[in-house]
Amino acid sequence: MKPMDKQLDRPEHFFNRELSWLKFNKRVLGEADVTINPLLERLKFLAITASNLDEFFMIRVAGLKHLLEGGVPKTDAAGLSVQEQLQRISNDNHELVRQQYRSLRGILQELEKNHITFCDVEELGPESRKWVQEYFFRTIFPVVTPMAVNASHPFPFLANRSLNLVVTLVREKGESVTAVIQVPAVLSRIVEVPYNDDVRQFVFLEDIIRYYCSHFFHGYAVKEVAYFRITRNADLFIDEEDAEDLLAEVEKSLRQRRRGQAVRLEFGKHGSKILREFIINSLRNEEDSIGDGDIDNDIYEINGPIDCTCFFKFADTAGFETLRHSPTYPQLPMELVGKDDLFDAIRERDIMLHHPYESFEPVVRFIRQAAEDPNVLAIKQTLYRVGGNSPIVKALALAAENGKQVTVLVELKARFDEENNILWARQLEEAGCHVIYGLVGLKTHAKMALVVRKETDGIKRYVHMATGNYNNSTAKIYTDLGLFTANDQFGADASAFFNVLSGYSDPPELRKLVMAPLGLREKIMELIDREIEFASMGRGGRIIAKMNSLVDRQCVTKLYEASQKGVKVDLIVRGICSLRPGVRGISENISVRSIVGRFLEHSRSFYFLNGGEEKVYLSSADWMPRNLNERVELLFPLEDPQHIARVKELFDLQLQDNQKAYVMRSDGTYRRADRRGQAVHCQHALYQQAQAAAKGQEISIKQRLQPMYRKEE
Amino acid sequence: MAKHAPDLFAAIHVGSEMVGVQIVEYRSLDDFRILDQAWRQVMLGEETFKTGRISFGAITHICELLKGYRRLLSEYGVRDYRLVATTAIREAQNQAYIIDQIRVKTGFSVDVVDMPQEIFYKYLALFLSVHRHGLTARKGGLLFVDISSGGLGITLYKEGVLTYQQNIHIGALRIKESFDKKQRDSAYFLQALSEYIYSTIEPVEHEMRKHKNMYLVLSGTETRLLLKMLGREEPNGELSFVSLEEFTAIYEQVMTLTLGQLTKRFGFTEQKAEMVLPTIVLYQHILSLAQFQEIVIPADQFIDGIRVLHIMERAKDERRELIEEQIVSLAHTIGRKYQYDEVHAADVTRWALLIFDRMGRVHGLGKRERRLLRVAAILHDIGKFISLRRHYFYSYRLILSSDILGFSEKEKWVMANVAHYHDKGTPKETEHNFTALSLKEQVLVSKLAAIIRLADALDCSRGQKISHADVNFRGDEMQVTVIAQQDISLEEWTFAARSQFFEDVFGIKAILKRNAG
Repeated sequence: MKPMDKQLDRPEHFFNRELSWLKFNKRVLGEADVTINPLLERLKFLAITASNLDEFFMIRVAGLKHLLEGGVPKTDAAGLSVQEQLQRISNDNHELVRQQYRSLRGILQELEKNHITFCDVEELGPESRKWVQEYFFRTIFPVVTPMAVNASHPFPFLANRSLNLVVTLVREKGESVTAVIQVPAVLSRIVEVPYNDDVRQFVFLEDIIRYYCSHFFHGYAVKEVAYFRITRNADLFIDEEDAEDLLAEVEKSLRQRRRGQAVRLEFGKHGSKILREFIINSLRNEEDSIGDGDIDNDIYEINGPIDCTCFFKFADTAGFETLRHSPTYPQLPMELVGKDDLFDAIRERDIMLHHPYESFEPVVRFIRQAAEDPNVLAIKQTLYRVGGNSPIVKALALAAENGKQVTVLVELKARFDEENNILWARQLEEAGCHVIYGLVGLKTHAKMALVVRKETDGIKRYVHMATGNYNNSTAKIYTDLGLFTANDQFGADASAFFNVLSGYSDPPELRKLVMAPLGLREKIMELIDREIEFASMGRGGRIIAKMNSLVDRQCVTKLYEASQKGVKVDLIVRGICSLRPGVRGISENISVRSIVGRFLEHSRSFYFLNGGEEKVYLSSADWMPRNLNERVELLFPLEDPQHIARVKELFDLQLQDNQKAYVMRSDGTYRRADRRGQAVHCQHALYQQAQAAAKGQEISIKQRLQPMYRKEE
Repeated sequence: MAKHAPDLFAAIHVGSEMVGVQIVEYRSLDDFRILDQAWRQVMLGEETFKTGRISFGAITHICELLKGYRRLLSEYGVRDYRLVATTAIREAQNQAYIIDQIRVKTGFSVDVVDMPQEIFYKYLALFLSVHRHGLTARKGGLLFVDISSGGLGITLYKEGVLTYQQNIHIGALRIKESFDKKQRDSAYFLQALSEYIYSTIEPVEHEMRKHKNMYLVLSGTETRLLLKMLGREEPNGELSFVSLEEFTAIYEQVMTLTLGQLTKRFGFTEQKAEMVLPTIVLYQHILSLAQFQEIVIPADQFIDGIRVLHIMERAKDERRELIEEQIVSLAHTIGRKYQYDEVHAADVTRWALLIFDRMGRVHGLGKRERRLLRVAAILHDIGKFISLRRHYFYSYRLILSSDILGFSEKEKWVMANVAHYHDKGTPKETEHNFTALSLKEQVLVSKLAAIIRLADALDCSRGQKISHADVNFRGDEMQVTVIAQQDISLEEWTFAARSQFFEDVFGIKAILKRNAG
């Protein structure tokens, strides 16, 4: 491979990935301010930003702080030192948090207009207050353990992401004591208080505890109460090289996760400076704390309820249907309309699925049918995030019980799903599946299922590959593309892929698939190079690439080179983008847009004009170093011309979207796409398309009798 | 007509540098599909060549891999398999324990093949590949040179006949291991390496000088190194052609590069890079043996040979005869080397096979045994080259020390013993050459020897007096009716004298009857 172009690989041509990520989270927050969105959906977006931020601190910020502590003098592609990055993250995030709570206040006001109120205990009427008092003594009191802090009781180690109260108490003699109360996570954070009117009123759990907290401390008077929340480093450190039993190793480090270093402090706005200093000092004195002053950057004064993730659950409260989107129903995939037997249909032609517009059910059925089919010999599948109560896991277990050879690659290191995955791994093992944990040092992120069937003319392989996980819950909200095929070139590659993952084989040459970390980046380079070649010959170069994040320096540099040679590049990057578009002489032929809507854009798809012989690829991998270097990922071509056309149409819609799209400018900021002209809302349009297609034949006759109107997007 | 479902077969190879499996479904030699294949690099060879043993640690690792392959087999519902082990296990002193461990831990039974067999497996696959591409029809002949980690096989094919076959204990890995690290780093290493290789293959030169315009069919894992250096793709079921100029260019490059430069320029691991020099020097020496047109590198490996042999045995295929004839031709080549009486050998073969074929149910033997008889008949007298006294003993010795493609070491023992007893004496339990055989093999030797004795008797005058013969059974009698124009008293007396042993073995009285022609 050619070395990167030094002229292009310069700091001013890159954005820092963390800051770019914060901008993405700001776009998500932007959806909370879109007034045409139903109120509770807006609240949900707010909760998403909050939970995103939690992860960001636990992993990314924690990682940077760890680097800083280690004194590694490293700069990122944009030339920022670790210190500078942390400083800028802090600045941007303070602004983001302010915006978050501004939005929240706005939404809460709107909710009040809809007769939904949040109040303090003081504001409640006598009836309600009586109910709350009872709730406190019966339900809350028994599960709360206040902890005094004094010479004989050091500051307790507070769990990651737990909400706490810090309380100053005074005795009559004037001597004062400090205590900490952890808000119990087992109780609902938002408590509905019965009320006789049309209004529904809610109280925050911590507020009830605050109001009655004197009951915990007899003989003391409560002087002051403040809320705070600590976020800790939650990255797992697993020594895979020496791990005898990876399963046990992951379990062990999960127990340690709760005890990572503190990286962020959220402190209720009304707390006094003294209490605040008390908490900060206590955190600094924790055993593994990061050097002095490093939490200073990330102390956030919160003007409102701390931890907005509680609104996830609240947004689903029964009775508020009118304040939510009407539910969407994933449709029967258009390519499966009128097909009874899945295997027959796949044998006939490749089948592409587009979730969540089209149902994920056929994928579940694929495994279930395989489990029950007497001709099926073996099933192999990768599982990364399967979600709770997964029908796929059940089907796999059933298959094993039915005597099929079932091999499942469970990725134990799927972040924040580790516990879940350990559970599945055990269940599958008990059912008789051969469970493997993938390759040392690499996370298996590729999504693939393989069914081996004995048919009259020999062994036949059926393959499913996708851009998203085998998770039937997220398949309802993430946009992903999947492909079923019985083409044996893919089948043989799939077998080879699983042989590598099982440790049966050294990596072979694959026919159709490209596998990271063995040459996926090289393939991307090759594909871009080909466009450059065509552009140089005057035959036009064109690339459309959709992914979640674009960070890989080599890829970005190669795209700059393509732009310089006249290749037109449109990027649809939902999240982090470290490429700077529209810079004269560097990237003027590159556009970047981000779509943030009701469904999480998740599919990774790639279009190359290829001198007229268009190529479309789907992939599990983002163009990030971690995906291309440290993960097992797949890239696969679409071969059916209809599928290529379908994905092209998809790209057209996404590039025309002016309702949910943001356009990135060369200074790195994002602006909503120009809304003038016909409104295009790609997610909405795709959902309607899927509904129409699923209704199938008989409706289309009816449709023929309808007068034609101008198509509404 | 609806085709029946194809058959399934798994070939598994435990080699010195690689353990692999190939799962295939087939209807015939040409109608087959490789469903799955997997392989892992291992370092069994280095261990064996250095210490003479394979450690249990290494065996545990191999067993883990084989357990995985066992699982793979059940994923395709494969029951038929053949697990073949080559050099590393063949030469390990603890071979028996290793095989037992593999059987206990994985349930697989292991076939350890000797070098001629190993060469033959590969030759089968290679021959069929070049045959499919029409190379066998070209003039000039084909020199098959197979370099495995532990051995070098040289086989010369010309117009349907094998005219030369020699196996040498020199392989790329073995060469490398013959020199220690310090020696390999020495400035004189190249010179020493070159001389070492030359000394080993020099005896071949004399034979090779006679041939011109041959194709050099190279095989062995190291051919991939050559292709990679030429920037060629992995061979994929096809033949790769390399011109002599291309090779020379690579050779000259390699001579000037250090190990580090090799790894950098061609993207080799250090382990691979260490193999490059001995491999290229060896190739260069082979090329200087004779005058070649071009180098041909088929994609086939040992494991393909296991598959080909299995399918050939299962599915009827005319190419089986082709290969059989080549093996026989090689026996004649060996005979010529020892100045055998070609006409007599042909006559004895003819009568031996006639008797064998007519005996059918009486001897209860099959095609393999027929082939043993055939080759033993061709070579039964070659001991006369050494000495006319006890020539049968020297026949025995010469057969044992010859490389006869297509036969295992055990089978060679059988043929050598058959030759030993073709004339005088009967197998005795006091004779070491006989008692070294298993009981089953002893019986086989006796049966074949009994037949060959009668056949030899029919031309004991070396006059080919009998023009026609027929064999009939009547009760406990086998009547051999012959047509001859000259007097055949000598034949009749000899036949009668030798029929006793035949009766001892089969319980059948052999009677010679002459019909005047």
